[in-house]
Parts: sequence; C-alpha cells; structure tokens
Amino acid sequence: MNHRIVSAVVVTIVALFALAAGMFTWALATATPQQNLKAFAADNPHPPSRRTAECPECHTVEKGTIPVTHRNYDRDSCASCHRLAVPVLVPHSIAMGDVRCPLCHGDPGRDSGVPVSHLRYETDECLLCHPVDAEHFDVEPAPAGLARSYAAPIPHETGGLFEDCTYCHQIGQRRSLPENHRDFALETCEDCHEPSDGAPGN
Amino acid sequence: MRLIVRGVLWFGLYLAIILFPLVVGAVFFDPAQAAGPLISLAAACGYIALALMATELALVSRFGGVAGAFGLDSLLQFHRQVGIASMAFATAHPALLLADRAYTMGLLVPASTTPWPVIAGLVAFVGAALVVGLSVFRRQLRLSYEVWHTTHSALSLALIGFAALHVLGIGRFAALPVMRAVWIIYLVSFVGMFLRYRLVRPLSQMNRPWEVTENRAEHGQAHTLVLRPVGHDGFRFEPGQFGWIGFGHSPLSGNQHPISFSSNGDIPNEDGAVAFTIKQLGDWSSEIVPRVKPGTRAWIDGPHGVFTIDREEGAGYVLIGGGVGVTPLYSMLQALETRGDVRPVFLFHGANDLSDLTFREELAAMAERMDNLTLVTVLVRAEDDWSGERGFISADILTRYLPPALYRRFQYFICGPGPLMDAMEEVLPEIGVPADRIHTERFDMV
Repeated sequence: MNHRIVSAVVVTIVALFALAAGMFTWALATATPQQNLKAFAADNPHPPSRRTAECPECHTVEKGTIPVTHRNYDRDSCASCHRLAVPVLVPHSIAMGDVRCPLCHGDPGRDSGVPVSHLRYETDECLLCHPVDAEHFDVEPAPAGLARSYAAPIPHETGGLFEDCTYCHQIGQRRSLPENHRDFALETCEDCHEPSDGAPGN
Repeated sequence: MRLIVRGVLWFGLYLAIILFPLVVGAVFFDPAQAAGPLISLAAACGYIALALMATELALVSRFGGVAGAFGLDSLLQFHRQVGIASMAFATAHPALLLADRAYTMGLLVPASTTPWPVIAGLVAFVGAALVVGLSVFRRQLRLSYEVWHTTHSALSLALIGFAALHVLGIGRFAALPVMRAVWIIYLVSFVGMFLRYRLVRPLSQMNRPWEVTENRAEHGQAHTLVLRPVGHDGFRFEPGQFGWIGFGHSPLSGNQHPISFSSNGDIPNEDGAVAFTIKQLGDWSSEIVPRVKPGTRAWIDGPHGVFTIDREEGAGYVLIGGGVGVTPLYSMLQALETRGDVRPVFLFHGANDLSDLTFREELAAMAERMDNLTLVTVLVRAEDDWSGERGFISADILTRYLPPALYRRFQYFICGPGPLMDAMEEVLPEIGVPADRIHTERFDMV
C-alpha cells in the first residue's frame, strides 16, 4: 500500500480525533448548567478567597464538588495539583462595611466593578473572601459613586416638593434608583449627591 | 476497489474503538462533575491518547485480519505515525490542564503529598515519551534492534498499565461504572492480544522447530539461509510472502525478524526446506546472520503478508526490485516458472552496481528459460562495457519496455529501498497505472 496514502490516512485520523475532542468538550459544556459554567470561567477557576487549607469543608463527593475518584485522597494533597488563588485584597478602609461594597463595585463592566461571576454571591459576603490589605486599612476609598466617577449632582431642587426623596425615588416597583443603590437609605442621598441649584438639566 | 472497501471497514472500526470512550463519557456525563472547557478538552485528549496507545499493541500483534488487509509494512508505518500522534495527544493532556488556571506545575513535579493516580499519570507520560523517543531516534542512539524491541515492548506495557491506574484512579469520567467497564475491557483485550503475540504464539511454535542447513553468501552483501523443518512438514506459502525468523533454543529466546522467502513456496524441496535471503543492513543481519552455522536451531512464524501474486489477478506482472528487494520477486518468478504461467512478466532490477545485483546469475538463467520473462537490469554505476540500462528505474525506462496497449492492466509489485519505493509510487500513477494495481513492500519496515 502506498506509504503516502498511509500518511494521509494518519493525518485524517488525527484531524478527526482532534475534532472529536472538540465536540466532546462542546457536548459537556452544553450539558452543564450555566451556573456551573460561571464557576469554571477560564480566568476564574475558583472563587479565589474560598481557597483555604480546608478545601474538603466545601469540596465533597456528596456535594458533587469534586470527582468521586478523589474521595480517598489526603486532605492535604489538594495543592499538589490545584492552584491556590491569591486573594484580591481591598486596598482601602472598609469602615463602611460589607453592604456598602456594591455602591462602587456593584456594576460589572464598570471600573472596579465585580466580575459577572460574582453576581451569584450575596452583597454582604464580599469581605469573607476579600479582606482588607493591612497596609491600606486607613486609606479612604475613592470618592463615592461608581468606580472613579464622582456622584452625579442632584439635577433638581431639593426643597419643597422635592424635600422627600422617597416621594419619587423608590426601590420598590417603580425602581427609580439604580440597582446597586438598593441597600442605601434614601435619607443618605445627599451624603454623596450634592444638590444643584437649578432645574433639571442644569 | 477491494482495498477501498477494506480500508473503509477497518477505518470505521478503528475510529469507533478510539472514540467510544468519549461517546460513553458524553452520554453518561454527570453535570455535577462539570469542569471548565480546557479540563474537558484535556480529558478528551488523554482518553484518545490512551486508546491510541492501547490499540497500538493490537496493530503489531500479527493479527491476520488487519495485516492481511493492508500489508505489514503499511501497518507498521501506521503504527509508527499513530504512535507519534498519540504522544501529541498525551502531551496536550497535561498542557491543557496547566493552561486552565485551576492546576499548578505540581502536576509535573510530584511531591510527597501528590496523590498516587497523578504520579501514575506522570510515569505513564514519561514512559510514552521514552517509547516514542527511542523509536524515532533508535539509529542515532545506536540502539540495537534486539535491545530496542525488548525495551519497546516492556515500556509499552508498563506505560499502559500506569496510564490505566491514572485513568481509573482520577478524573470525572472514570468514576462512571460504564466507563470503568469500557476501559477494563479495552485493556484486557489489547494487552491480551499483545501477550498472545509475545508469549502464546511463540510457545505454540515450540513443537515446530527448524534447522539451518545452509548459509551461503549472495551478491549485494546478502546471505541466503536455507532452513528445514525438524519433526514436522513445514508449510507452503504464497510467492512474495515473508516469515518472522529467529534463532535460539526456544522461540522466546530471541527477537524475530520479518524476512521475505526467496524460495518457491509452491513446491518446497523434498525435505520441506524454505530459504530466506537477508542483506546486511542492521546489527542482526550484519552480525548474527553471516555467522549462523548449519545445524543452528531456528524458529519461523509464518507465512505472513499480502505482497503476493496469488491475491491479484492481472493480464501480466511487472516486478520492480531494488537490491535485495528482489528477494520476494525472485520467489514469485520461481512460482510462475514452475506453474508454467504464460502471462508476460517484466522484472526491472535496479542496483548501485553489478556487485549489488543479488541473484543476477539466477535471474539471467531464468530469463533464458522463460520466454515470457523480460529482465531489465538498471545500474547506477556501471562499467563502460555495460550493455544494460543505466541510472535509476524511471518512467522512461518502464515505458520503453512495457507494451503500451497492455501495461495498465498488469499488476505491479515493488520491493526495495525507500527512494525506489517513493519514486515508483509517484511514477506509476503518472504513466496511468491504476493505484489498486500497485503493490509495495519496504524491506526495511522494522
């Protein structure tokens, strides 16, 4: 048999196997619940600060969070193969508390916004995984507002009819506040948003 | 056409065997065991690599079905190239895991805390690299065939054993009972085939020994060994076939080498003797064969091969041989002569010089006796008084001797060194010979 035919057959077979490996990956990805996929994003194989020396506290065969074939491995052996992520430390004071984190970091896609994959966590869980950096514990956060932009001034008068913010701005059905403001009391609006002296548009 | 049908059938079976574990993994996939895409891809590459390596054992187990379909030299070429490809998939397996940020370089540098399945995988990977590396660079490393062959077999079995431990002790899919069953069946089957070839088959030859009765030097640094069966009738073979020959007190005492018969398989000598003609090409053929004395115990596994005129019908035969590659063609000519076959036969015999022309006197005498045989001798280096063809066998030389109206209906058998084979595989289709009428066998197949 012509040896060039054999070589061509081998090349074809290897290409088919590579294609099959790709299809296998695709098949598994489509069969995986979307929530699981988020947890395994390529650049975020694991919620970083959940990495502790006590991996088996969360990773159990029963929960399906490790392959059952790992059930007999030593508890200390995780790091032999699996990367321990470096936690992202908060570079400023956290005097405002957990619930204020979303004020600046709530919107994915904005400067310093949280990754999309973090949306599944509760807003008061941030500091569980992201402790403050000891060298910057007393650094004031950047000016309030989303990311590095200043809070927009209130585009209307604040007296008279406008004295009660809640009259218009609700977080209920009308949702006239941004989503990431839902944890803030309305009487604190002017802590960040300075009233302007003009009509809307000024 | 028959070759195409055979090819499609075996090709389909091969794909099915290699990809079946992936199909099982995808069908029985447990979403709770989900991993990232790079990890899934790594698993797929690992499974393909192991399946390829396991089936490599079957490919060299002298299975009549596969070898009979394509010929041993094609099978061994496939074995070599697929071996290299399987190494590529095996390399992709840890590379993809490391590309996924979930894993560390600790995968490649085992520590005391590293789980044993990971270490087993690493050992299997190193074993695979050694198997492929020693094979690719055997000549550069000056490794003797015997040492290489023994090492190749032992390392191959070891690496597949460690890879099996790795697969069954780690990973998301091996936990599936059906996947474990698939792999256990695969490994038992393929390792079983290999052990049958390496142990059972040689042992079955124990009561069929042979004895060397003659060892004569031939032109072209070759030796013809004549062997007779001891205590049995021997066998008949189809002209052009080969046997695996080895020496020693038992069939297990030495490695066997595939050598074409140079005698007539139709009508063995009275004592059932067969002959092999072996050129001094490697350590065994250069060091052992010339020193084999009459009376030496030998063992033959055969006959094997599909490079034979008995399996191909044609209006005539064109035999193209280079150097000692003329051996199986000489066997064919003897058969054609004793059968009184009147179909036209052309032998194009190429060599570097006159001293390289193995069987030149025998072939010349045969051409005198056979009216239907045209002998064309082509020398690269010839004396001034040489009246034959000069240079290399080419389309010009072929078409000068072959009958224009008929040659496309002949069957072509080519045996010789790589350059001659490569040239003929290119030249013959160019002059209109259909691909399914071209049959080749490379004498340096192992």
